[in-house]
Amino acid sequence: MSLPVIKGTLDVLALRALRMSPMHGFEIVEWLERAAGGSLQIEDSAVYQALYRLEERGYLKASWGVTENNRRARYYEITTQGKTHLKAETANWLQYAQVVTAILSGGAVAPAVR
Amino acid sequence: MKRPGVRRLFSLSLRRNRWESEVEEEILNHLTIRAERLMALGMSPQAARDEAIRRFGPLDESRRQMVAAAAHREEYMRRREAFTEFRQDVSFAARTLVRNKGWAAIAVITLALGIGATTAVWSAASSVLLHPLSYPNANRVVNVNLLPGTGNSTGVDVVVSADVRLIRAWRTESRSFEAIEPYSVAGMPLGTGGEIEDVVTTTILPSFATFAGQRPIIGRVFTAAQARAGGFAMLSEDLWRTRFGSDPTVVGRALTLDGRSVTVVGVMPAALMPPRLGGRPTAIWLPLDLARDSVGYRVVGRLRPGADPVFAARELDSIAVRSKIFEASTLPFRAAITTPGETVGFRDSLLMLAGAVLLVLLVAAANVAHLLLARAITRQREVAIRTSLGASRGRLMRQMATETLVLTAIGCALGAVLGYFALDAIVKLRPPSLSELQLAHIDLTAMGLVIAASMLCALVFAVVASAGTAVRQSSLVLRGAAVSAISRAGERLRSSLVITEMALSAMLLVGAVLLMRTVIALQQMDLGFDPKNLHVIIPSLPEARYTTGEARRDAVRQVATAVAAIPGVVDVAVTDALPSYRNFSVGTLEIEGIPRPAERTTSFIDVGRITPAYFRVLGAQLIAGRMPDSTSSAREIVINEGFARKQWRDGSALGKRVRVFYESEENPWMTIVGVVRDISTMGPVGDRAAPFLYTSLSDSDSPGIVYRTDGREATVAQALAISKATLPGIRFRQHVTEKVIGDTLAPSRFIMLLMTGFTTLAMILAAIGLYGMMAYAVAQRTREIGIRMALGASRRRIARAVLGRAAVLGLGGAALGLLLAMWGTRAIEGTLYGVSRLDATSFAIGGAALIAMAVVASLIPMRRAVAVDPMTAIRAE
Repeated sequence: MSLPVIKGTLDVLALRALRMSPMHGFEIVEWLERAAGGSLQIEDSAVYQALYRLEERGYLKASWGVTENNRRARYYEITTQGKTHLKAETANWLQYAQVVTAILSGGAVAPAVR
Repeated sequence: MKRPGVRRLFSLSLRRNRWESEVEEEILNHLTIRAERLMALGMSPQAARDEAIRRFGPLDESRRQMVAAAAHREEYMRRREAFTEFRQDVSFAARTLVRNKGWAAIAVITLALGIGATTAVWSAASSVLLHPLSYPNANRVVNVNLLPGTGNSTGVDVVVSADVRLIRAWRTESRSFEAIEPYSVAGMPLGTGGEIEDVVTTTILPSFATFAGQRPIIGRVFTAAQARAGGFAMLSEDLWRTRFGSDPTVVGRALTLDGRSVTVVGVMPAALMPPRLGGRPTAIWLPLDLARDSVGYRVVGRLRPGADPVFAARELDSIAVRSKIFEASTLPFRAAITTPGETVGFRDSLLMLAGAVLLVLLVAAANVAHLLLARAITRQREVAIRTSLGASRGRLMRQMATETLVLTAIGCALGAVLGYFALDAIVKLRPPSLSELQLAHIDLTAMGLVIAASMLCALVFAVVASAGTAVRQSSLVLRGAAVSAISRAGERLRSSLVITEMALSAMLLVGAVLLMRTVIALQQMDLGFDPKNLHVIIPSLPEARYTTGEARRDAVRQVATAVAAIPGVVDVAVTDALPSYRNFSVGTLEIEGIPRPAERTTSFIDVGRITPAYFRVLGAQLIAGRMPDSTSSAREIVINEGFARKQWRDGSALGKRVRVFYESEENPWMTIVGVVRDISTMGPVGDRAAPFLYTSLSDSDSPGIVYRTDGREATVAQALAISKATLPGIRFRQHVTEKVIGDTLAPSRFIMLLMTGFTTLAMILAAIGLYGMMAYAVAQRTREIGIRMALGASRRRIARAVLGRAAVLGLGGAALGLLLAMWGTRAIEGTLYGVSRLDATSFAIGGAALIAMAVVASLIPMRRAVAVDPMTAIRAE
């Protein structure tokens, strides 16, 4: 059973995809599909919109390159800003998921240590 | 491996923008790869296509979002790039300027001087003439004056104060006015005993505070009831701070003002300005009771939006007629509406200075343009190299424009600072009678306008410069061959710039010389009396103690007798025609034998009450007849020569009779028994032909004494002491006549000095411009001079050629300038005295000074030209 992507998380997923090396649009979609193992309903257009959004905000930069098949493709690369954003958002998400999981599994959450 | 024809399955729509087509391409790529993968799994091309599109999702919507995001991104990048380029240009410009410090410094200082002077004067003009009063809706605030039918040709600020009944009628009935506020200003002694201080009080309605948009700092504005009762006052912030130490409990305290007790109800901020500009600031605000019929007031008002001042004046007149306050069917007075700025006495002079300083700015701008042109020429090699290395012409021009911009920005900043200090100095050094000048402050609109104007000038010149010296054949320039050809065209432009600068300077010179001659004429003017060692003492006789005119005259006579007894006092007279004071009657002057004109026009008629000693003490000259005899049955008067000559050209004034007619009052006929040479006790103002009637003292209500001393300092102090001893408890005012007369000249001198200062500035700038051009020309022509010398030209010939060139430029500038001045002096006609606006001597002096300046400016270049060594010159490139 595949789940719909929760609004707002596609951005951080796309950044994660590009953490290691630059990829072009189709590769990113493939990576996400593979990483999710089919459990997420990933819509191609949503991914592209996320990529353009991230580029506009400066977390990604894009340039036209050539694939192995000698085809022109637009390669996306994560920027330093993007890396910082990815780290922060990942930490936030993991903490959030932890809290939600704890509440929904029927318990309270220990107060956060400041 | 790319499958051929897959692309054809997807339509490639045509888009205009680069990023739109990129977005399209990216989507297309994705769909293609997807379709390929699906076909590899065995789908048919058509099915693969459909499935690829299906899996993509909403095509149009996502395309729209992607294009929008791409457009934003492009815009942002473009802006960043432009900004980076601009930053590069600015730092390059700054480095270039630093490398040419001398040239840059001259340009910056020139611009700063021009902008500083213009900012100072324009700010003064704007803040004093355009919005001197900081009331709400100040553009609709006007003064309402009553003037006699013939207006005010006395040359001094005289108005007929409005009757309270008239003001009440105006307030109720006027439709053109949104508010009408009467007020009056008076000096009063504050305090008792030894701590008496003379303060200025302004009497206002309670509504005036709202009219002026101000609220009390502490306490309240007096109420209508308090105004009716009287005995209340508001302090000004200054008085509160200085005399009462900002004491918050001052409300409710009682003060002694003019011998009466008043209770303080509040303190008004210093920002509350009385409608009367200039003079000492108001210290105490007193309440005005409109219901009480008392002495008339001045009036200020605010017109309704869209009301026309001319129509409003006529409306006020018609209200006056309807109210039947004046019995005559034709009004003896007309309402005259003026803006506060129009009442400033030196308005014309200020406008003249504003125009003059604009000329200075133009000279400065021309100088900067000149410098830019010279720079452009010397940079031709650099431009040629850069062009041949691939720099675009647009980028180069942009860079030169940025350089001009940086230069102008520095010049403007420096100019603003200079302007601030210049205005400060002008306000501080102002002569006392130009008191409205204290309102002048740096006006941001004026400064903004000046800066905008100069930046525009500079940019235009820069564009002209870079376009005019455009390198068309960079190869030739690199080889150094075509420089002279290119620079000749530049030279024509530079010559015309220099001639313009000199023409403008010539105009200023003519103006300055005219003003100088005006001041000289004023100083040499025949006053009709001798002010040397002449002093005046006036007692302030309170009505309570001296109820009748006779009592007051007696008191003053006592003082006069006492003063006359002092050994140092040469002569004394009792009179109210005191130097620097004038008394007026208002009415029509009727001359016996000449029928009364049907249209009665009222005017101000100077009246002076004198004793027989008067003319003698003043040193005035009675040129016909005798002094009035107070014992004779007829009323006898002496008139002034100007009027006598105008009215009775054949010189038969003696024996004729005149009288002053006002409304239905028929004053008795007065017989002319003497004619005196015109006495100008207030300087050269007003119309000499206007009548001045000297009658006997018995008509005077407020006389004083005028006396002449032998010149010893102590005598004046003695006179005052004796006066105080004769009338104990009375306050006396006194002044030195010579000083007062001198003060009337001070404004003209001040304006002249400013004008001379600006002219000198313009001359220096023009001289620098000329010097720069000649120096450059000599440097350019070094080779030519060397050749000429080698061929036998004497040094004297070379020198003559250089000087001749300068003289020709000077002549051209002078001719153009004098021509412009003939038209331009029309503007300063009002400020001239004793010299015509087309005075040949002034023009000649102006022209000669300019040519002399041109010759002097060319001396150094001439010396350089003469010192050229032919051998080195010819060998050099």
